[in-house]
Amino acid sequence: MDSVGFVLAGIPTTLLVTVGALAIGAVGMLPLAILRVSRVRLIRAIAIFTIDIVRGIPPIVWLFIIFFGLGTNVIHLSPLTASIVGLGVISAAYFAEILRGGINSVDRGQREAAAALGISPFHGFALIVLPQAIRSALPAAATFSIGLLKDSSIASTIGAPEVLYRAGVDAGASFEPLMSYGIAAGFYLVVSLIAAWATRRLDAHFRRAVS
Amino acid sequence: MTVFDEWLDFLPSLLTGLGVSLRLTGLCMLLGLPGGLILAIGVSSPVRGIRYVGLCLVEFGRGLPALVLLQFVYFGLPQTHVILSPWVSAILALSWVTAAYTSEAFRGAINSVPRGQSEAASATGMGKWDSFRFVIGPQAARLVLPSLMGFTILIFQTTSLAFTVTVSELTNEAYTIGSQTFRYLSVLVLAGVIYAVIAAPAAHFVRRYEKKVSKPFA
Repeated sequence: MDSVGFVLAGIPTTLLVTVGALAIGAVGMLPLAILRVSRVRLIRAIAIFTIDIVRGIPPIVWLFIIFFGLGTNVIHLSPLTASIVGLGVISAAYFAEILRGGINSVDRGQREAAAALGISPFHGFALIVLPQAIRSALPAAATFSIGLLKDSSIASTIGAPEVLYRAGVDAGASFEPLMSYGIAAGFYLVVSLIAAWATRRLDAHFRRAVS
Repeated sequence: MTVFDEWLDFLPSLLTGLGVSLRLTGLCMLLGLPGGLILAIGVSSPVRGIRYVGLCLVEFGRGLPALVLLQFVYFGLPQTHVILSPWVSAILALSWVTAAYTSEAFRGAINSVPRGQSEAASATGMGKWDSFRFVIGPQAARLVLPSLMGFTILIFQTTSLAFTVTVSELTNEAYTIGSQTFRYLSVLVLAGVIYAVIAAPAAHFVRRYEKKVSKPFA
């Protein structure tokens, strides 16, 4: 019974890593997505290159580069901060790609209509295209966010005290690894099932709202 | 000594590690793809028992983080006297993940072949197996290929998790060199570059291929 409490006490850290990374991703995606849909081919190519490189490096390597690489003689971040920053960088790249899909799904006519009404290109993008783009990108963003919650378990490799890390510590103390890791597994399974259900509801809701 | 001289020193060990990563990726696809197909068929089986077992395997494989599955197999199972080597644990856990995710892709592709196709097949006197082999299968394969290729790239990156159960793949080699030389930043960035040099062009190729295939049936 002790094990359950001990392992599950990592939930706030798991959520903090996830939400923190999502926040960095949500801010970082905007410049990347805007460059990604630029009319200038070279700018677009640079954005694609950056996004592909960021996504090409596995999360665990990102965390190691930030925690061990930068930590040795550049800036020392705590395991928690390093995890949030590392997963945040990855999220920004994924979100940018998702938002690009959303922006492209908004009909050209919307921007043309805005221009015809004398709305500036910036305001047309910010007030007319972007809200519709975000709306159509939401289901994909929700799916990615659930994936990120699962990926936050990778923070255990650099010692951030989230659920999986605490499962490891508990296994070492109780000599009942099956129980410790089973509790962690149960947590992720419950969260995934709830999240999958919620995403389905959200998806159905938006489909109804659009039609 | 410049960074590049240093990288030349690191490269042989990292390439050995890359070989292990690639071998692990290959084995996971080799076991995971047939597994995914079997799960896809099992989940749509008319027999309730088979359907439930299939659903459980898929939900566990998709719902659990790969790292949790891996550590459960390697650190958890020995308590039940099932002791697997790091290598076997990694193959088992990552193949399971592969099978679970690809089963959904297979199912989606099979379901998106128009119903009329299987009706036409049975109208020409084909049995279920022949209909799958000659009519549904080939059309579904065309649809599922891009997502399988995308998933292969993802699994290649996911093999980096095998580091945590002491498999000496690319990330492990990089970390070991880092801990011996304290040149963590340099060696880890090189490892990242190696992953990206493989994954990024592959992702680019898959996107282009996907665009080509997504055009409607001619």
